[in-house]
Amino acid sequence: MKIKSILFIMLLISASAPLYPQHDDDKTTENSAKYLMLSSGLNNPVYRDFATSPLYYNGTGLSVSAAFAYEKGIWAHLVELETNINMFAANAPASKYFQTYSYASLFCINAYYHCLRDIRSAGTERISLELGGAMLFTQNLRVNQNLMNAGSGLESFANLMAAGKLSFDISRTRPKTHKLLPFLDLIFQPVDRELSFQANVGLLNLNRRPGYAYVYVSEVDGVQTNPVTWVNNPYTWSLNGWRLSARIELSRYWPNGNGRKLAYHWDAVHAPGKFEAFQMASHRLQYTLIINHKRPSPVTIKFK
Amino acid sequence: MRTFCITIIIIVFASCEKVLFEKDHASSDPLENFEYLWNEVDKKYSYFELKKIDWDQIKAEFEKRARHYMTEEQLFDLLAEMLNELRDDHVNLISPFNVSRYNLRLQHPQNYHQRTVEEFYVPNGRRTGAFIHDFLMNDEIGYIRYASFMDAVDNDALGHILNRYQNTKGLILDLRANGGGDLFNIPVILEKFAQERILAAYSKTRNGPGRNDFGPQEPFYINRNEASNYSNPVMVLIDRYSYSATSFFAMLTKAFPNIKLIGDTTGGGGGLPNGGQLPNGWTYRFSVSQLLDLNGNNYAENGVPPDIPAQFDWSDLTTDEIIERAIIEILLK
Repeated sequence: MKIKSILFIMLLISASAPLYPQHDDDKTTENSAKYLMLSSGLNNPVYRDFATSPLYYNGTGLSVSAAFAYEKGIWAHLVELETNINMFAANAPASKYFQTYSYASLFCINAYYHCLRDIRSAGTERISLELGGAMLFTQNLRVNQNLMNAGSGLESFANLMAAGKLSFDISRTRPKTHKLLPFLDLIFQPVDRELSFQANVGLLNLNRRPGYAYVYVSEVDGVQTNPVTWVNNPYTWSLNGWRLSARIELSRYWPNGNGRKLAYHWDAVHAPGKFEAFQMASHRLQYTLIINHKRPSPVTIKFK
Repeated sequence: MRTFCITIIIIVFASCEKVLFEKDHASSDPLENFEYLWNEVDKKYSYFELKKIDWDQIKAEFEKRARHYMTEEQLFDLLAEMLNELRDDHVNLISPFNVSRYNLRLQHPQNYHQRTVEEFYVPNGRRTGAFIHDFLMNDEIGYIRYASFMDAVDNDALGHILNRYQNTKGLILDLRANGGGDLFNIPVILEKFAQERILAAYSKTRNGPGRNDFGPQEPFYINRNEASNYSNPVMVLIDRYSYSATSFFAMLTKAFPNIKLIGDTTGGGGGLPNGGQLPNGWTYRFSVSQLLDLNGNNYAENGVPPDIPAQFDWSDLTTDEIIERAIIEILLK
């Protein structure tokens, strides 16, 4: 188990290392940019855990995230930590007697990193194409009291993904005037805007799912037995399944370099595990404040 | 145009997983639910061999009675009857209108009368945490009642109780009619009576489709609690209503030289129950593990027998014969 974990981490590290081509392009001296991004959003997830139920659980939730984006020359990096909390109801058939509902909750943490290279030969002045790799790690903690001893579910997903991003510069470069009324003009000022579409496809998909019986009596060693260890014991890693994700982002930047972004994120994962599959998808509408870190500071500290 | 394109893309992705995932299995069809439940039990139930249950034969028998046009109540009754063939009180089918159960305890006499204990033995019993307790026989014996393993045992509270009875000749721990609960309460209590680290039992869990496929035996250790410990004899009272975690507890006491079980055989429930949901939204549970003693014997599911059998005499409600038997056992030591 430990060896598998170490091999997995080594694989992720080696696979995520950017492969720098031997072109002079890479020795660019173009400006770099750093952004801190703070987001909040609404989630619409759906999941199904075949180990405990054949039913879909549909939910809604809230999401917050913090990200750091770093662009230098043709390379763009993004590190993001996102967490969301959701409530679900089972999509059960209607009863002819009276309807009751199974509710569940999900707390989820996502850690994401991508490294994209601008493929300039494929772009134009207003369109850019970036290709690269991404890593996504997700940890779920689900609670569904209706399932009694199987009421808590822990899933982990680790994915190494191929990533592609297509960006359109939709900036308004000149003021635009709309006649609202004969005596009233609406003037739209120049604005720096970008519309981007990114798709990630899982290449190496690991998931951690429970053992055969889902619940398990593990070794109990006095009162020191850690309940988390007790729950975790039968969970095992598998290399199977798939993961797809996509982002559509509309960004708008102000003259000072800061900006805001409205984004739609879609993520779907299928984790067969060793025994029974887990499937989850989420749709997230997210609002982001973009804080430019590149602005020169009015104060300089110099050590002698 | 731009807004239109974005909207279209979002709609495409919003329904994308419906294409990628398998079809929705939600169904109120009785035959589908019957098949699903039978398969789940077949794949994971842990006591087919011990109880000599022919699950295929049971399917053949009940499948004949399943119909597409059954009402929800008819389906419930059929599935409940099928599950009761497992003769296991850890097996339940839960619908909005009923909960099925086997009720093994109703096939045996009751051996605990709360009023008798409270009126004639501990009328002024103290309540500390999950326990009711007091002295018996001129302070020579301590009586502790623990009614449910669902009630969390506070280590300090139990330490306080044992400190009060430290100078007694023995303790009576009454677990009759204790229907079980959280396994993690077991070591908190037993470590107070352990004079050394004790390997007390094993358990094993289903890990394959074969009905006798089990994972490795997992040990259950009880450590000694140095801070608060009681070394004199302890009489644990049990009956057929002592179920699940209480059977587990009773089984572990077999490894303790200073603990004796008095009363009737426990109700059983040695397996850890799981939980699941049918395509129609009803839920169920059944045992997926087995509890074994130190010799690998597998009797906890059918009940842990007492070291000293005793029965409650319902013709005289002023005396609890099982407590009386425990008192004799302590005073004779």
